[in-house]
Amino acid sequence: MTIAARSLPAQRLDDGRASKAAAALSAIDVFLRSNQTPSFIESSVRDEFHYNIGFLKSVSPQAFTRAWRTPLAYLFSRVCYESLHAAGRAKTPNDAALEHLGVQYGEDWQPALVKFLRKLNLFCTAAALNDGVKFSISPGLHCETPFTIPSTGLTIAKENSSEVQACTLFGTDGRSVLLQVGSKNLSLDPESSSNDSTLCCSRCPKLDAGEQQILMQPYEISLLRTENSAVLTPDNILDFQRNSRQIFQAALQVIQIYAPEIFAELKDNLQVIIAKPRELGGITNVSDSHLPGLMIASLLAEPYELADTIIHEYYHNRLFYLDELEPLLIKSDNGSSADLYSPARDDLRPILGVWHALYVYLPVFRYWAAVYEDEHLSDHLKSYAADRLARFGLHLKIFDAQVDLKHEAFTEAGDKLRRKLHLEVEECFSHLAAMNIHPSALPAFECDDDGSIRPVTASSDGRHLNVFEVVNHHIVSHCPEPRRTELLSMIEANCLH
Amino acid sequence: MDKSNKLIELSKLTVEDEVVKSFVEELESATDSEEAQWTQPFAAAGKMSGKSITKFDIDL
Repeated sequence: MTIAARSLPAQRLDDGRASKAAAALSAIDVFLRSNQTPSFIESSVRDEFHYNIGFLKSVSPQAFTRAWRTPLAYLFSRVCYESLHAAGRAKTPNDAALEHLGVQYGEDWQPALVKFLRKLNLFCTAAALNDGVKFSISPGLHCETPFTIPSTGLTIAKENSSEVQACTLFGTDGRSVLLQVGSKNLSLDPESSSNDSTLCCSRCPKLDAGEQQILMQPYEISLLRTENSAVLTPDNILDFQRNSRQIFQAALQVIQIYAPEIFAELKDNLQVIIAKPRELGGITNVSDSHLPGLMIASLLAEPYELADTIIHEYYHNRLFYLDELEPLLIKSDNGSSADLYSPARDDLRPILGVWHALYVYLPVFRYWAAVYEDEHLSDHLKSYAADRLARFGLHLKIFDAQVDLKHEAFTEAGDKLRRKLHLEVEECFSHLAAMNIHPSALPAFECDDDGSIRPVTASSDGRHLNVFEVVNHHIVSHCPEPRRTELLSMIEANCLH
Repeated sequence: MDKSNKLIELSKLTVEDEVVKSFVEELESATDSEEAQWTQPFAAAGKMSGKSITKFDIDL
């Protein structure tokens, strides 16, 4: 039995967003030349912005599109637009914009916005490199290593070091990146070995995804001094990408084999994967609505489990996209308090988090169903796949029930999708019985970071626990009453009848 | 990185373009609307980050 994959309409996820970001760029240029421009943006910055727009219009559409269809370009235009919108009304930008501007609590955001507007120079440098033409930045743009030129995969850094080095970017001669460190002028050519000992320019590793490529560029978000970029501080993070490449490549191959419909869509939309050691940063994996097509993923040495992570994070990206097409949650509920139990987390979550979980676990369940049905699978992977199906089947029932508690938080479009997902959860759960998978009779397993698959045991007597007991235990440990009793009754009814 | 099968021609995105025009109007408008058009009627901001969950050797 196979469960049909659900596909989006035949369109690229990022077409609309990249075009919208380009339209916003043009609108910002018009606004900065109008007499309504906020007075704190000096004329030199406005003139430079206008000059840069002219440059981007002069390069080939291929070079511009390549530079612009990047997660950072979307973020750049969105943050500029939203901040200028707020500035025009003498308001403070929204929290997400402030975070991406790098503004700390209590700091003045206006100078940060002025600096941020000048980062358009980076996209001009990228477009110039893509087209092999010159582009000059005057005065130069202050940068701190390590950083990347968006879309090119180039890394500017001290060799094998994430040490911060202040430098000034002056653009490109069409081939090399032109910089100044102190009083020393540098011309860094990624294709030659003549890199200066002060700084070097190298290319990040890439993953092959069909006819497409995915950059493993840890510095794609380095220009943002946010909590996410803080996870990218180790000296060896670029080497970590190189060393992780093979296992990520294997994970993509697993997706291609077991979830070909997802792979066909993912390869066209996923642009950057940043691998990180699992223990780094206090987080495992990250997807951000402001960085479409980018994910931060913790390395796992088991490609089947890593494929699960990639599908999971990709579907967060996908739901952000659907939400941008048409809002799915009533806006006031997006920032609602974290009061919902989630079987996938030890902390309580807002409706947005549980809603995303419901959406992303469905394709992950289908992926494991396809893996489980592979007759050539090793015994330990077969056992693990069975655990995932039983566990995620129960998780889906719980997510669905939790989302239903907040049904009034959904827009009409969101409610339509919510009802559709409910039916899919029922379908997945009935699929479990058809595969003769029963959570209360199925030994539970976990995948360790080194890829080993281990039984989940009771610490008291070492007994191998079953999946029902593990899920049950998490509810008892983390779900507040009275919901705890209700959910325990629900999963008992589904598992022990 | 170039995954486009649809090129974006910035030179064609003038103020005559409907989307550009609506963005400009909103930026220049003195109306105190709730949010920038980017997010309303479009998406709200969000970030999904996983955190470690209880694993192995459960104390029953």
